Formats: sequence, structure tokens, C-alpha cells
Amino acid sequence: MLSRYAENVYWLGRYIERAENLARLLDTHGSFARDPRATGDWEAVIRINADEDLFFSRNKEATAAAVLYFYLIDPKSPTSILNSVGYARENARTVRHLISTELWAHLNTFFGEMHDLKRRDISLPRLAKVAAYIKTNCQTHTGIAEGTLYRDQAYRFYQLGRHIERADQTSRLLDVKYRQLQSVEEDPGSPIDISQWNALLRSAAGYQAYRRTRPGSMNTSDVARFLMSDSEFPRSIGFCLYRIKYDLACLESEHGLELGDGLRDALDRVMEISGQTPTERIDPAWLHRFADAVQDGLLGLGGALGTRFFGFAEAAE
Amino acid sequence: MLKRLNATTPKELSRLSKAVDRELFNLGITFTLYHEGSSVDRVLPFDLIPRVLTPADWETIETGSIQRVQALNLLLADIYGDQKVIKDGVLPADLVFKNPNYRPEMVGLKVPENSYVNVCGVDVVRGGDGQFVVLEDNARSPSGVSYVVENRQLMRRTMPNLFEGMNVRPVLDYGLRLHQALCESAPAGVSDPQVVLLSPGPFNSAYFEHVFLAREMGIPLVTGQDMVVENDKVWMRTTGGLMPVHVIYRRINDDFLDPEVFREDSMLGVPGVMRAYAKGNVTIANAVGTGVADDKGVYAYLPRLIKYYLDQDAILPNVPTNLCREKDGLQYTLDNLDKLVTKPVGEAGGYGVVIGPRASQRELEVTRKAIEKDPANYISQPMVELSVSPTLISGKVEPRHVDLRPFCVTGKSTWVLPGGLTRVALKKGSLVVNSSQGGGSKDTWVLE
Repeated sequence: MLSRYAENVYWLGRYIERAENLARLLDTHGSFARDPRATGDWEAVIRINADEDLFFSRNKEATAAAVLYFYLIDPKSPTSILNSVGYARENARTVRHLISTELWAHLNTFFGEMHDLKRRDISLPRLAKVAAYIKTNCQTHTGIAEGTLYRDQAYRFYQLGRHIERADQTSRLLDVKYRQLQSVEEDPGSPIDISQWNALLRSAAGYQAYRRTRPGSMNTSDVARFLMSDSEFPRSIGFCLYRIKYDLACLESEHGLELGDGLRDALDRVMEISGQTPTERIDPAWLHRFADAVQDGLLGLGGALGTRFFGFAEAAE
Repeated sequence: MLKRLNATTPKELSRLSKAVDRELFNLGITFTLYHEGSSVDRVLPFDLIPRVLTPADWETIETGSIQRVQALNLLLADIYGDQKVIKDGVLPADLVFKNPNYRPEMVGLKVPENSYVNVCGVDVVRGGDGQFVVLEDNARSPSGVSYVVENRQLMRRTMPNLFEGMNVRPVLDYGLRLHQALCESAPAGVSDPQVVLLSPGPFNSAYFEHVFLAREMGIPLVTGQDMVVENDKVWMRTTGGLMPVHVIYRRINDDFLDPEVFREDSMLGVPGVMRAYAKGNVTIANAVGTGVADDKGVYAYLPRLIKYYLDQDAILPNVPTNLCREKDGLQYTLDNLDKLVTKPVGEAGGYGVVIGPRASQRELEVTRKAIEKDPANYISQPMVELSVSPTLISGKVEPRHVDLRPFCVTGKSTWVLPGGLTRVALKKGSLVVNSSQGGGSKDTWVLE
């Protein structure tokens, strides 16, 4: 398989996952914002994505309207969902002969519809609707991929992209939200605490699973542990890393690609970082360092993948 | 077929037509127009009424196209070989050596099967007398074949009942045929050749077609950066390391192929690929330098070249062409400037073309002086009447002008895709079928 294609399908997986996570985040944020006119809540979204500089270079205040425009349909914001879907489409277009017509046609239509959204379609009262629309389309994409993608190397690289992005997004979500949760920890069980705790789990679609597997538990450390390392929850960092390890092993065993030391080391490093989950109460400062380290580790993993498979390969024997 | 069409109400036809356009857009069967820094994806409008060619019509087009491709390949082998055609005085030397598309790098370079023009698009129109004539040969990188196949698929989905009992000859095997021809043209001694399609990339307006062809042939779609030349052999970069490449079906111009030989600033090509080509380690299709054979100047000589190489009369005639480099041609052109279309030989894209009946007295005088000054640079032709075909316009059926581009695929022998791309000028009275100027396309049926 051409190196460039491997890179394109990898980014296809990443961008769709990014779009879905951002839609989840905005949606939960919108429905749990205590006061839509308050700026504090919406600034958190900007922090998660580390977009403070870009955002405030163009906006004075992080109002709901400004943040929603910036993250949903702003063509000039590289992190907007419109652009994520657009980049996904460009990547898909490059590898169009490797993916099914259905996968391409859906993504092309999805992008066309995103492109037609106007400011009035994404106002706060309509946020739930538009977020549901985006999530549904990302999931439709995932479903079509699952049902039609040929299980060759391309599929593995696609899955690697998806899970690296998902682990990264979950770590960001945890980092920022956890700080907010901790600030109200002094009054456990208060309406604000519960709603924030709810919001975090709902962003990651983990509310039901959490309630079912940890009945009675209502403390933020448990929520953090759930999102960090639950081995059955598909959006936890630990689960994603397990999937990454599995897909890399498949590339080696089924497709005869050698991972090489650089890639193996990068994988070991990030798995080691994510493995350290304290059993006692989790301190926000520690969690922040943890999230940073995970993000660094994932960056290293992505880089190692690039060097090994997307870059300049040596001559075949 | 007419009965079935009649049974469909105009409203229903309009509805189907709109649905087809939407389907084309959603499937991304589009070309890209660049305008003031932004790009727009456009569909080539598709007309629901097929153009039908009888077996007799088709036989003329098919045999005539094969004959032209044979002559073009023999001509190219000769131009880059012994140059007999020039020594025998059949083709003027300056038409070859002063042609910007003549590539001295090709002299003495052996092309497998002497198949220089692996894919040729012969643009044909039907004149007022019902006879098919050739407007031009496209021997470089003719495009449009993806629409032929996609139009058929669309037609079958949209109006399946039209096909019942009609024995329309299939077009869906184009990819297989092309792949076979390219494998036949692989360097000697390669038993299982790796064919790739070289594209300028996703921003090229014809990228959809490149994707389509790579998919239909089951071959990698590569850009220049995916390939590298080592030890005068071509390799592609894969996740498993470098893998050999034997045949490059390229959809980029000669100029951009190899920055070591042609344009230094080309980011689209593969440095060193011409070295590998000269050593016979890779086949480039179409061959480098085919542009010398398909320009307006050489076109005028093609009937004579067919006679010279094949000892046959042209089955598909040219538009009668007066060569101003010849005494009779010059006199006739100057005497009838107001009735003729005059064209400079060396220019492309319609530049410098003067349409006599529509030109002012002053324009004609300027043209006369230009021709008298440099007669060899001019040809003239009568105005060609394009035939019309019934076309759906706002729910009504109206006559519109059409042309036809059949596609000829050559490896060891030449095969012509039954049908070809019918383009239709959707504007009333217009003769311009170009997609960028209000042209559309039709499914083309060759009956058995």
C-alpha cells in the first residue's frame, strides 16, 4: 500500500473522530451551561482545544454565539467541525479508489450540508439539534466504514487514526472538566456538582455505562478513573490504547509490516503513562500532568507512525 | 425507445433529470472550476435522452478511428526513428522539428509494440450531408471516458425500461481493456507488470476521472512524490518499503514528467523517470512526444499519411483543409477569406482562430496580411455544420448540437470503446460543447 494512502486513511479516521468529539462537547456544554450569557463555561471549550490565541485574536468575549460559530462552521477556524469534515473529505477524495462509493457519497453529502449551515442554524437554542445531526452523521460514517471498508492495511491505519484521536480527545475533556468538577467538590451532591459530573460523562457517552458499572458511586475521582482506564468502555484512554496496540499487532502479523523499534518504544511509553492510575482520590494538578503526558505520548506515537509508514521508506530487499 | 420516452410525462422527465444532477453531485462525479482563488465543484449536466448510433454508423467510426491510430503510431515511430516520411517529402520537416511538442529525447528510444498512443480520443462530428468527419485527434491525454461509463450507469438506474430489448453494446469493461493494453505495453521480460496511474493530485480538475480509472483498473493512483528513481528503475513508496513500477499511465503533460529533463520547476513529476524510460525499464503511456502528431498542422496531412503508411484511403475524412503553405491552398484561402475559418497552426485552444462569416472587414484584412506574411503558419477550413440530437430542455424536447469522442485503446492491437462521449451544446443554436461553457453530455448507445 502506498505510504501516502496510509497517511490519508489515518487522517480520515482522525478528522471524523475529532468532529464527533467536538460535537459531543459542545452539545453537553450547551445543555448544561448554567447561564448562556456567562462567558466562563464557553471559555472552557476553547481551553480544551488550546485555541485561546486564535479565538481571542478575533473575538473579545467567549460568548456562546461566538464559540459556537468558531467551532461549528467558521471556515477560517482550522479546528471547526466544518473544516474537520472538509479535511476528512479531502483525505477520502485522495483515497477514493480504496474506499466504498457509499462511504465517499455519504461524506460528500455530509460536507455539502455542513457547508450550507448559516449562523442562524447554529444558535444556542438550535445547538442540540445541530449537534445531534453531526453526531449522527459521524456515526453513520463509522457504520458505513465498519460495513464496507475492505479489511486490508487501509482499515488498520483508519482505526489507528480513530483511536489515537479518541484517546487524545478524552484526555483533553478530562483535564478541563476535572478542574471545574474539583472546584465544586467541597459541596458533594449539590445540584451543580451532579450536573457537571453528568456533563462530563455525557460528553463521552459514558453516563449509562458508568451508572451501571459503578452503582452508588458519585465522586469525581471514580469518574476520572472510568474515563482514564475502564477496559470495556470504548472511549476510555486505556481502551483506545488497547485498540491501537491490537491494530499495530495486526499490521505486523497479518500484513507483514515490521513496526521497528521507534514505533514500539513510542507505544510502550504511552501505555506506561496511561497505566498509572491512582486508586485514591485524584488531585487535579496530577490529572493535568497526566493528561499532558498522555497527549505528548500520543503525539510521539503519531510521529513514530509517520516515520515508519508514511514517510520515506528504504528500498525493498 | 421513442414510445417509452413518450410514455414519460415531461414533468416526470424533469424530475428524473433533477434527481440525476443531485446524484452526480453527491457521488462527486464532478469537475472543479477555479475562479478568483476559490474552487467550485460542478457536475457535467446529463441529458436523459440517449444518442443512438446504428451498427453501420458505428462501423465507420470504429474502423476509421483504428485506421487513424495506426497511422499516428506509425508516424511517431517514424518521426522518432528513420524519419522516412520527411525524407520522402510527405511531411514538411519544419512541421515536425519546429513543433514545440517534438521531443528530441525520444529519438532512437524504443517503445514496446510501437504503441506510442495507447489512448486516443478522436473528435468526430456529423456534417450537413450526414457524413462523419474528424475535427481533431487527441493523442496526448484525452479525458472524458469516465463520463461515458458513469453516464451509462446513471441511465440504467434512472430509466431502466428504456434499455429493454435494445441490445445496447456495453461500455463497462473499459478499465479491464485499458489495463490489458497497458500490460501488453510493459517493458520486455516483465511477466506481471505493476501499472500505476500518475495524477497531478486531488486539486486537478479531472481528478475524479483519475480516481475512476485507477479504481476500474485496480491499480495505485500515484502522484510524483510517491515515486522515486534508483538505479534507473522506478519505484513507489509503500508502507512495506519501495516496490517496483513497470508501466506509468500518466495524466500529466510531457513538460511536467521529469524536472531533470523538462521543466525544472515541476513538482508533479518524478526526477529521473526519463533515464529509466530511455533504458527501457519503464513504459510511459501515452509515450512522451505524441503531441507532435496531433496538432493542427499534422492533422491536415493525416489523409496523406494514412495513404503513405497503410496504402488506404481515410475511412473517416478530415474537415477539408486548405494548407496555405501550398500554392493552391493559399490562393483558395485568400479568395474565400469571408467564407472560411482560418487557424494558425502553432497555436492551441482556439487562439488566433478567425471565423470568416462572422469577422469584420478589418479583421479579415489583418488576417490576409498575416497569412501573406507567413503562409506556412496557416490553414483554412469551411464552417462545419454539427448535427443535432433531441435534448431535454426545461421539460421539452428540442434539437441541440452534438459531437462525439470515441476512445481508442492500443496495446498489441487497437480496441474502440463502443460509443464514446457525446457532448451537447445546451444553449440554443450554440456550437460550443465545452463543459466550461454550457455543455452537457449524453449516454451514447451503439446498437448491436
